[in-house]
Amino acid sequence: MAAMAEPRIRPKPSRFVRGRLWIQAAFLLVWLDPLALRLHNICGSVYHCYACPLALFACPVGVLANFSALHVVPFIAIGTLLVVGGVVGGFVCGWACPFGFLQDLVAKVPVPKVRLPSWTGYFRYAVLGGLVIVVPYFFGEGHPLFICRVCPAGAVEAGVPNLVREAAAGGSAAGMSALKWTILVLFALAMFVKFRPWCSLFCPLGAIFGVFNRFSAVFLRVSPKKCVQCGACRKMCPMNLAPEKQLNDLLCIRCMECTRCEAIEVKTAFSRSERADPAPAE
Amino acid sequence: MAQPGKARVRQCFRGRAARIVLAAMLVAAGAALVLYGVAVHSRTVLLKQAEPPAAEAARAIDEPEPALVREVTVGGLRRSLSGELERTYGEGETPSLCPT
Repeated sequence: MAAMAEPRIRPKPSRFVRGRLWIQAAFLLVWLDPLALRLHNICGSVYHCYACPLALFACPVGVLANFSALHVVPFIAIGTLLVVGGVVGGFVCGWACPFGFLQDLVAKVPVPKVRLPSWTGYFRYAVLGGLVIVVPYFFGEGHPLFICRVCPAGAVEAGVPNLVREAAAGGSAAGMSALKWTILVLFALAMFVKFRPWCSLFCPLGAIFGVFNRFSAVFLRVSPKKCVQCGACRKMCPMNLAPEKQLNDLLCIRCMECTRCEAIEVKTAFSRSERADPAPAE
Repeated sequence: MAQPGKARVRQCFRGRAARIVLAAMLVAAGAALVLYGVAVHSRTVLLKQAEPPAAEAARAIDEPEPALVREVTVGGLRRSLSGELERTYGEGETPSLCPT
């Protein structure tokens, strides 16, 4: 039996990967609209509820669902997702999404994490098709399964802040529905025991960007010359993927944790491919 | 027959070129859709009268897509039973703000 090859793991992640939380925090600052511009006629590209008192852009999923309920084609939302997805694909999820950032922060709490099979991520497409497109189209925005009514991002980013604001102003603070409270509590608990529970199981925006992972101009590449099939990248992947086989998978959030392995690198469509190198002389 | 090394280079060039073309097409298509939505696309929206005289017909305006996007972020639009878009709040009123 052949001996297991030595894994080629860098002693520590690159400075860029180590600074991911800071980059996410910088993006969060932008999405929180510090200049109070409220550009809600522009469709954003991250999962940030537009009912949040501090939201710069409109949530693309909310726009898709509402336009579906109105039976209007959302050209701006689709176009925005195509442009952003075509350039960076799932990097949005791993580096710019404020809701992903929240889940990443909570995941830092040292609690044993559940690792579900990666195929469970395909449920996101059922959410995208069902709650974002079909239910709004046929039943309107008043249906209890309309995505905004069950969205935990809406509960965290809009429901709770608005509740506090109303209570502080001495208002009635009627609050969120029982369904929304239930989802909020379940989601809060899930964040401790599962890495990015919303992103990996339900997020319709992640489902859209996941499709672009295979076509985007910025992507990940594994070098067959350097890969020794040691399986170390599988242990590093928080989304429970096998990066050496599923590098630009639909479920990849491009957190780049796997790039600690020397065989995996970030490439752009314009970078010279390693596969293009002429074969070494025999 | 091409040498293996050269064949690999050619294959990769095709793959790389294909990725560049695909990504460029996605971006171009997206930009075109955004431009169309911003500059051309609009829908007629019926305005809700604050104090509607029963017999008076509802006023309608043509709203461009960016305005429609802004309206849905505040729960300001709904689809009527007749299939028309109508505002959920009257002139001088404020929308519900939270669409959920």
